[in-house]
Amino acid sequence: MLRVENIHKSFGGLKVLQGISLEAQPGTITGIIGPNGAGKSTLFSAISGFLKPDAGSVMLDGERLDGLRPDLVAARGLVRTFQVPREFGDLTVLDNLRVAGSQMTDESILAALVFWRRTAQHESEVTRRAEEMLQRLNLAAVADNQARALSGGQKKLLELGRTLMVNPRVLLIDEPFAGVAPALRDQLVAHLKALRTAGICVLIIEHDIEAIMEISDRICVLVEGAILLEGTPAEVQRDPRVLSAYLGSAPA
Amino acid sequence: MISYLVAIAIIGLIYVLLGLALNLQWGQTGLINFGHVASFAIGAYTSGLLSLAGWPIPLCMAAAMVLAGAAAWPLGRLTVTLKEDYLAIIAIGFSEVVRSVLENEMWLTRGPSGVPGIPSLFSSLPAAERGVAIMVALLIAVALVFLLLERLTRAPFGRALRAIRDNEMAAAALAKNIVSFKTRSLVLGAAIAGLAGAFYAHYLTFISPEQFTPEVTFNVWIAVIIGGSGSNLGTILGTFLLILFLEGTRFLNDLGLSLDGSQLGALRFMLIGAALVLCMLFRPAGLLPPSSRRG
Repeated sequence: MLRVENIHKSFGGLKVLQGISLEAQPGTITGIIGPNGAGKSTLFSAISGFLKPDAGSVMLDGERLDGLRPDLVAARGLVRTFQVPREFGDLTVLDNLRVAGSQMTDESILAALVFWRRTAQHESEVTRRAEEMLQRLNLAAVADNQARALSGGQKKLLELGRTLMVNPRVLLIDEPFAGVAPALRDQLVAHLKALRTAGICVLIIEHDIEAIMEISDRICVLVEGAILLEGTPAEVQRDPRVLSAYLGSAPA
Repeated sequence: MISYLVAIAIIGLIYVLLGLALNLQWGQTGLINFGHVASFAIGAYTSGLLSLAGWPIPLCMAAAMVLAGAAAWPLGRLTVTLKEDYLAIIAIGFSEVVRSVLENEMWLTRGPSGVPGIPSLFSSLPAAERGVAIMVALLIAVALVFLLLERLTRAPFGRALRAIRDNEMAAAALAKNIVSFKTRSLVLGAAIAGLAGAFYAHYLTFISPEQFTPEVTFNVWIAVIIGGSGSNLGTILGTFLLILFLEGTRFLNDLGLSLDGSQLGALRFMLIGAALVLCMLFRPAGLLPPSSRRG
């Protein structure tokens, strides 16, 4: 279980996060919505170690994650994506996934020169998993293309696949639907729902209200660095404060 | 004439080692190492001074690699807090600090007048054959370093370096320890540059601080960029062209020009600059870029 408690973060005098607390269970999807500048992406960065919170804690299954470097947070099973896709542009699509699936122990100099037999074994296992993932994401046809040549929507899929190669327990997904064509959108919805079935604890930031209401078990409404409201999609949609706070300041 | 060509080949092969090292750091890992010459200098001085103290030359050369590599380690750790581009500034600072240590720590480095009388490699051979022997030894060293780097490039290690080069934040988000990879890349590259320095010291038998100016760093950068960042073969081709240019332009007067020494020097650098600009205009990824950057 992910437990975020009383996270504060300021940049100079600007208080971006003012005491955010939330809990999320394995096998659930929590949607995080809110107007631009509400602090949603900052919250993700604070949870995933990319920003050090000024106060508060992040606990994953009883282990404290705040204060750890981002790679160590990821190694403990909490993995994020970025609002703007960050593909490894020069690498092939397949290699993007294989990098994510490889252990650091197989990525050492000694692993390449001395223990190459073991490394090659692990490598073929990683390749098999990566190829499966490409099938699942409908990216098999572009496996050997460079990632920078993918469309925006394909990059979103690749980024999702890359995080899954790490075998995350918690997944923070920043705007999966931004810039995704309608044809790919339904596919993405199905992938995200499958994460829940796989028992992953998923947090999603999204401006596409329709999509987020469809896939989320719980919704958190973030306004000006604080949680305005939390509840099921139905509860949140009924609440008049959401309409004024969210839709009022950000045209949907 | 033969001995002149051998001399050029030796300097060229030393530059190939420097180029391959920089290609690991910059071409594979994206580290803007503008202080490359520092590792070269540390290698040259370590091997030169130890051999004068009576150490056998192979041991001196190994020590040169170890010390040059170790000296780059703090530079790698500094990348913890540095954004990518700032490494460039720190690295220039590092190489200038190394140079001023060479100039001022008389007790250790004998200061600006340099270190003469360093034992030559293969000193039992007559001068002409000695050059050829050093060239062959360098060819073997280059071949070994090339094979080592090709192997690492194709291994998961190299793939992780390129991922970090392409997007550091994404790599960190996928549980990659960025600083550890960058440090390993810097240290290994510096050790190779240290080996180049050791060959340099035991070939010239005289080293002084003025041989280790930032110009060396930027010549190597030119070679890697012209050849194709990220490609070891490209780096070798780029170095070959750089040496061809640097040496070839010495003979401009034979084309019927009558320039004095300083005019000739200036013209050489104008031509090299023009060649670099043309190369970047028409082959921005270099002459022989890695397959991922072609087309």
